[in-house]
Amino acid sequence: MLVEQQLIEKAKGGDAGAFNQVVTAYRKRILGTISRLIGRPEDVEDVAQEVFVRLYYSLEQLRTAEVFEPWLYRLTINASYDYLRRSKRRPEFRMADMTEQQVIMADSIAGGKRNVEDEEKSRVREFVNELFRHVSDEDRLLLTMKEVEGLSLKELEAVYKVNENALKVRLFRARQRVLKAYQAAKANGKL
Amino acid sequence: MTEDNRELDELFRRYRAACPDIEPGPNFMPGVWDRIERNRSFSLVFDKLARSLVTVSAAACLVLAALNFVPRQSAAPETTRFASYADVLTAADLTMEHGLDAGSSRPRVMLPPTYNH
Repeated sequence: MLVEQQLIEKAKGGDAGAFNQVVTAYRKRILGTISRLIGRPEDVEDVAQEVFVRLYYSLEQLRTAEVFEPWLYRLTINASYDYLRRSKRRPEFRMADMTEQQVIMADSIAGGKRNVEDEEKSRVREFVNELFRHVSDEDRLLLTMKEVEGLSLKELEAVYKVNENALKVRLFRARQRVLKAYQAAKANGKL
Repeated sequence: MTEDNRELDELFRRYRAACPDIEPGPNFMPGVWDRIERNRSFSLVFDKLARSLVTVSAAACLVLAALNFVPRQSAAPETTRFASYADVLTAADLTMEHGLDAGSSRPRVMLPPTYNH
């Protein structure tokens, strides 16, 4: 836990200051998770704000502060899923959507100033996003939470409130689809 | 297959490293509170509307209930309004037996409309 349970209890009781502290403690982690879940950096902040608004309105339904993190992950996954469903677009970058910082970064990339390491990272992101196109949005989120975010099956069980075996089956199938796409890409020399 | 699985694991690890940690902008917290306030004001309007609707419905119920208890002036007597055919015949027999209706063979009790044909 990034914050003490007492702080969550205070936020639950309607303390705005405590809520601010909780958001401040978790926002970076949530932004990172959303970035990997939706694959569109320009919309990450918007989805993250939605997560914390949902948190504000649903905090009173939280039974105990102990289950706060799975609860927050659940809200994050739901907001990301809503975003993916709403947009019905696959990850792509548009200049119009970029923040000033991102435009500067894009300019430097265009100007050939980006180093090899950055190019490699960008290539990896694009390739994995391409592989995720072979699974549904739900499976993409589940697979990302497991394989990229590194959540254990027990943690995923708490987040999804679904039987561990059902999760295993779903993860296995999703991974098999991604693996197949990976093998096809490898065979076509796209790696 | 095992080799590909291992490579996929490695790819996911590289993907995580390749996704930059995004720093929240300076307007992040104000943006969150702005959204909360907007949702709250919408909820308040909805709450007001719902309360008004409940009040109007309750008032309408009271009016209808009151109207139901006010006796109608033009209403026919209970006996004729709700009398069954058997009741009417019994009443007619009684009046005839007691000679109260010597001048006419027709019962004085008003028949319900369906029985007048």
